Amino acid sequence: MSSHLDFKVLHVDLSTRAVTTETLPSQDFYLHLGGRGLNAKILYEGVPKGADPLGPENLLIFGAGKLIGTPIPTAGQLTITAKSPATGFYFKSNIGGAWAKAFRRAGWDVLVVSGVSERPVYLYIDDDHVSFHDASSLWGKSVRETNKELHRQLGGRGLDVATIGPAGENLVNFACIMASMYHAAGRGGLGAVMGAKRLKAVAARGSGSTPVEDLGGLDAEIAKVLDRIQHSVKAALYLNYGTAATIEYVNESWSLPVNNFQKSHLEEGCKLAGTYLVEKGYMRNGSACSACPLSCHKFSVVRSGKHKGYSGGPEYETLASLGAGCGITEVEAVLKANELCNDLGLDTISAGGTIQWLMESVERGVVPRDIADGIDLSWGSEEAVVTLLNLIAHREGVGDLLAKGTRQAAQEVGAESLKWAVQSHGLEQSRVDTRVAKAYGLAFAVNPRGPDHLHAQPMAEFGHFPEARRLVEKLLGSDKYCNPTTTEGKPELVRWHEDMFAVTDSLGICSFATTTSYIIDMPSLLALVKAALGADFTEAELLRVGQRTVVLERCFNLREDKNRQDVLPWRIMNEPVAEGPLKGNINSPDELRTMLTRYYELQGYDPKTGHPTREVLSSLDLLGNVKGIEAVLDQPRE
Amino acid sequence: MKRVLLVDWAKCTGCETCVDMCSGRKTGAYSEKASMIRVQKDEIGAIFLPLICEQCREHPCVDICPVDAIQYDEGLCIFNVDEDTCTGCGACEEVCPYHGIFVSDGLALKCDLCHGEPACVSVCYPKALQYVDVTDEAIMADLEHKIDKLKKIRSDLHE
Repeated sequence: MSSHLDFKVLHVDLSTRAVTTETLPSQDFYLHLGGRGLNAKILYEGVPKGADPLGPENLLIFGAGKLIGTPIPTAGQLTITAKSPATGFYFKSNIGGAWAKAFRRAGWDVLVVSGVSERPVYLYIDDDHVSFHDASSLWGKSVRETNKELHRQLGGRGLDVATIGPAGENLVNFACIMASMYHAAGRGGLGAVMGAKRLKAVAARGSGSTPVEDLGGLDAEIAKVLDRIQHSVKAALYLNYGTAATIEYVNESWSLPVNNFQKSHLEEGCKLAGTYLVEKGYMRNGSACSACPLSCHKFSVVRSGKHKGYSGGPEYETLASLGAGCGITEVEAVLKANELCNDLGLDTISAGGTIQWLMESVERGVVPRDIADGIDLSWGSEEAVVTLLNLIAHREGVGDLLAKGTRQAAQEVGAESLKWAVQSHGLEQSRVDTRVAKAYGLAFAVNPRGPDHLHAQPMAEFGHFPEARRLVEKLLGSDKYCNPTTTEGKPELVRWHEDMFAVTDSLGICSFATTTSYIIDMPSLLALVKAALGADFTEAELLRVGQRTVVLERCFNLREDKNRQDVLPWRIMNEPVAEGPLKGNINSPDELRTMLTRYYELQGYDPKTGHPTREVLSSLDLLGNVKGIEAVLDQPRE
Repeated sequence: MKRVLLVDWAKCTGCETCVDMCSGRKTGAYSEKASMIRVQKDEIGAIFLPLICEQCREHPCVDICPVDAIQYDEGLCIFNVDEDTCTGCGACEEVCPYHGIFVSDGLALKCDLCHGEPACVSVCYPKALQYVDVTDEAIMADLEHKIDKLKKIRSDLHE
C-alpha cells in the first residue's frame, strides 16, 4: 500500500541515459526522515570505498525533505550529497531557493545521479516526465546566463534551475551548485562533482499539490511559529539585514578573522556590516527561499563605478572571507567579488580562504610576489580578489594552483605554508574564530565535512537571546554555560545541535529556525510534523533519528579512512588569538581532547579512537538497515 | 468601514507562503493551481510581484464576463465569481490589469477575502500584504509603493 511517507526516488544514469524510478517504504521515513538522512544512507550503500569523487561511481543525490511544499516556515531546504573532491569524504550541502519545492511538486523526493555523460547535458524534470537535453551551447556560460537561457528554452511559470558555472565545469575543488539564480550549495566542491558528470543543470517544474494530514491543525501550529517570529530579535535581524548583520557584532567583539585569522578586528569593519549596506542603499529586499518568512537571503546592487553590478547576497561568510579576511573594507569590491562567485559558481568561503592563504604566502616570502602576473597580492588588494576569482574558475595562471584549494596548493608550494592554510581535511574553515567559541570549536572538529558551521551551529553558547538561554538551561540545568570561552557543558550542547541540525536538514526546514534563532523549538517541531505528516514522534525519538544520521555520516568517513581524526586547522590549534580582549584564546590539542573525550562518551563511541562501537550501531538500528555498515567495525586505528 | 487588501510590492520577498495558505484554505491541499494569489518572480533582479485581485474601481473582469458570473459582495466590497454561472471562458483573465483572476480547471478563481479574514495576510511576515480600512491615505500609500518599486526596478537594472 502506498503512503505519503514513501519516497519516490528518481535514478538517472548519465553514462547509459537510463532513467528508473524506485519507491522506498515509509519505514525509511521513520529511520532517516528523508532529505539529508536518507541521502546519507543512499550514499553509504551506493558509493564504494575508495571511489573517485570525480568518477562515474560517485553519486550526486538531491534529497527534498517531506515538509517541503507545505507553508511551514522555512520548509524549502534541499540537501545535496556526494563524496567530496575537496576532502575525499562524505559531504552534504544545503541549498535554499525554490528548486526543492518545484521538485517535490513534480512528485519526487530524491534524485540520484550516477555515471558520467559523454557530452554536456542538462536534465529537465517536468512533473513525471524526465528528459535529457544537449548542453553544449550552455557549457562555459555563467550561472546567470544559464538561468536566462533555460528559462527562455523551457519557458512558463514555476521553472526552477540548479546549475553549475564555469568553476564546476573546470572541476575547481570548491565549485558550488547554484539554484534559483543566487542560492548556493556552496561547500565541498559538489559543483565539481556535477561538472565531472558533465551535467550542466537540472531544471525542475512541478504542477502538483502537497497534501497534508491535518490542515487546520497545521494552520494553527504555523500561526504559533509566526507569532514567535514576531517577537524574535534574531528574526528581525535576518529580515532586515540578512546574515550580514552579524559582521558588526563579531568585529566589535574582536572575533572577526582578519588577514587569514592573524588579526581579530578591522578598524573600518562596520563598512562591511548589513546595517551599512542597507543604509547606503546597496542592499535591498530579501529574496526568500520558499515558505520562509525570515528571508535572510538578500539582493544587492552597486549602481555605478568600476564595481557596478548586482547579485544575490552578500552573506556574513562572504563579507568575512572575501572582505575582512583579505583585509578589504571597500564594500563595493566585496560586492563585485560576491557577484563573480555567484556567476562563476564558486564557494565564497573557500575562494576567500584560498586567496588569503596566497596573500599570506606572499607576505611570508614563500611564494614570489609576482606569481600572479603583476597583480598586487598584499592585504587589502581589491584587484587581487576580483581578478583571482576569474583565474580560479577558469584555472588560468596562478588560478590553477588555487583551484585545488588551500591544502593541495600548500602541499605543492611547500609544507610550511600548510600552517596558514586554515583548513582541515581539505576544507577551508568558515570565517568563524572557534578559538573564542569553544562549542563551535568542538562542532567544527567533529563535523564530517571539515571545519565549518553547517553540521552544528551551537549559537546558544553565546546566550544572546532568551530562546538560546532557555535551551541551555534545559540541556544543562543552568544558563551559566552560556559562556563561549569555557569548555564545560559544550560537548552536550554540540551533541544536541548536531542531532537537531540533522533532523532539520532531513525534514527540509532551515537550521536558522531550529537552531541559531531557536524559533522552532522541539515541541513546535513535533506538532508541525504530526499535523503535516501524521507521524508521531517523541522528542527523544526524533533526536535519535538525527543521531542515526550523524553516526552514519561518521561511518562513511571511517570506512574511507579508519585513521581519520577530529581535528581543527593547524593555526587554530597552535596559534593563540593575537590581539584584543580575547587575546590568548586557542583551541589547543589538549582542550580539544578534553571536549572530545566527553563527546565520545556521550555518543557511546570508543573513547580512544572515536569510532562508533557495535553497540552504538546496533542500538541505532544501523546494523541490519544500512548495507555494509559492518565494514567500519573491527578495523582498529593504525 | 470598508476594508481593502493592499499589496506592497517593495516588501514582497517571493517566499510564496501566501500562495500555499490560499490554496490550503480553499482546497485542503497546497498548490499554485488552486490559489487565488500568485507571485510573479523575476529571480535575476529579485523582483517579486504578488498577483491578486486589487478590488479596483474599474473592474473590467465584471464588464467583460459574457454570463455575468462576477457579482459584487456589498459587505466585503469585492467581486466574487459565481461558480455555477462561470463557464471558465477566460475573458476576465485576459483583461485584468493586475493578473488577479485565474482560470483553473474550467473555473475562474479570484480572491474572495476569505469572508473578511484573508489567510494570505496572516502569514505575510514582511507585511507585503495588509488588510486595512479604506482611507485616502491607505490608497495613496499603496500607489506610492508601486511607483517607488517601479522606479527602483528601473534604476537597479537599467541605469
